[in-house]
Amino acid sequence: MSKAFQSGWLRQRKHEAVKHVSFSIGKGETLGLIGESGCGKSTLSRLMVKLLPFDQGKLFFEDTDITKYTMKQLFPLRTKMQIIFQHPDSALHPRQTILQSLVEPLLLHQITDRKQAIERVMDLLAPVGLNEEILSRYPHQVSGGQIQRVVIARALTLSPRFIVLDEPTSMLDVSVQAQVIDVLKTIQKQFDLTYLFISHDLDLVAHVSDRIAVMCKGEIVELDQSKKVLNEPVHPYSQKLVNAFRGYQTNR
Amino acid sequence: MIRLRLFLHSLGPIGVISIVILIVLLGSSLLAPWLAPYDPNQIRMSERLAPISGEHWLGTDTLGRDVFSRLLYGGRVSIMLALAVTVATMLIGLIIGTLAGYFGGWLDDVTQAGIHIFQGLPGLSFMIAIAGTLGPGVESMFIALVVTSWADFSRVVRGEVMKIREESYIEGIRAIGGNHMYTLIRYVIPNMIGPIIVLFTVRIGRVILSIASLSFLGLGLQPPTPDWGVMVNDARPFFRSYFHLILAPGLCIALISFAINCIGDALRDALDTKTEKAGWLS
Repeated sequence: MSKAFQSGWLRQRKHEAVKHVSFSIGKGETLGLIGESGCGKSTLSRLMVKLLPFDQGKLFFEDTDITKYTMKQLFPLRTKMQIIFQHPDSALHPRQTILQSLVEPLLLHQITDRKQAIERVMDLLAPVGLNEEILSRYPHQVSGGQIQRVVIARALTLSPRFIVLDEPTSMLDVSVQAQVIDVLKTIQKQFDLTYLFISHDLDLVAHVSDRIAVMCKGEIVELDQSKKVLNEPVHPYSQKLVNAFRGYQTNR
Repeated sequence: MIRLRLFLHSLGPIGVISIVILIVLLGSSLLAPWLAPYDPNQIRMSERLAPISGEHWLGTDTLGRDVFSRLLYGGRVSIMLALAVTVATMLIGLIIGTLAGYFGGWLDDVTQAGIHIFQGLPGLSFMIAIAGTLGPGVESMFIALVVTSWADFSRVVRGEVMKIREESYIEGIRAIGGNHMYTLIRYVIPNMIGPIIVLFTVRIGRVILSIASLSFLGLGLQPPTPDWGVMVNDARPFFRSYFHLILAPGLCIALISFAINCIGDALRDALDTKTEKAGWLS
């Protein structure tokens, strides 16, 4: 079974942030999405989890057409697809402890009672590399890398199958970046997750993704196996991108 | 106790002095029935305009009523009314500002137009017009004050909400499945409690002043109600010879609005450093 997303003729506001985009992501796959700032990567990611309404096109989740789903219909599906954002400093409710933020999704969806929710959260701390100590703290007392781990754990509480990672590590130190990427890779295997990994860092995308989609001015200009995009980019923009990243090594 | 001391420390000396003034004024108003040496409305024509003495601490007014007793009672109605008005204003402002700021779109356009119209009207004249049309009394004053001050409140709340709306935790809870209602009540409103508290204190001070103005103009509380604004008006014909009659209630009005405004300011500063520290840590 494959998980297929199809969307085309997408439009946001009057300027077309995303247009004529069509692609699918296979189960268990990591699709890397790369492009310059303002090319519509983030808009696309929000369209895919239906945080933004789109004008035209279709969206499938596990063979179900969810294009016309209302917020109410979407509610049970929210557990299956999650999104993780870029900014760790504003990712969590500033006045809730980490524990409150972590149990919130389970209580909101009435999956478990409070006691079971806490147990489930405890089970998820190890895979994301956190310990219990952090649970009683507030977000401003916790480092950016830890926040991203908390956010990942929070998404995992609902046992999702698909996670959009919108530049999850771009605001972190390089050393912490590597750790968070490791966590993401480990849990992908452990929980059988499908990723859409958005970034403007080609090295990073190439490292985590099976396939890479290159986005430019709202369109996907190239979509192929990671190695192929990296070694023999076809579209002029991808070539520019790859050359720019290679620039450090070859041009000097 | 440590938390209380920390809180007082963060308010600074002016904040603490203001709190003391406010407690004294509120306490004496509250305990007026027990503290007042005379019935505030008992008329003794034989003792009219008596000077300051041991018997009448602040003398008597033109109808022979004990000024000190009237002063103690004089804050009660104004303060209660100011509280009621500010709570009502806050509720209206919170609902309109939150909805407009959160949902945006045409709802925002419509409410913004309304806010601009009401902010463009000259406050006191508009208030006098409303209170004058409805006739003097507590109810008409309440309506006049709420109508003239909801717009400011809504505007500030709207601004706060628009700031919070852009934070990623809002998108986060939406993605997890929180509906608009849940997001607003659990995420948006709790995160603007600080500015709301500050605004609330500052507004109460201003409303007390407005009530005094209206009462002074004869459109608010009516004599013989013991009220500071009414007392200032009553004392107006005699203030050249008996200036303490106008000074005492005037000072009370000035002190309470000064104290409340200073508390608001101090609170704003105290809350600001807190957010700054939080930002610095994260």
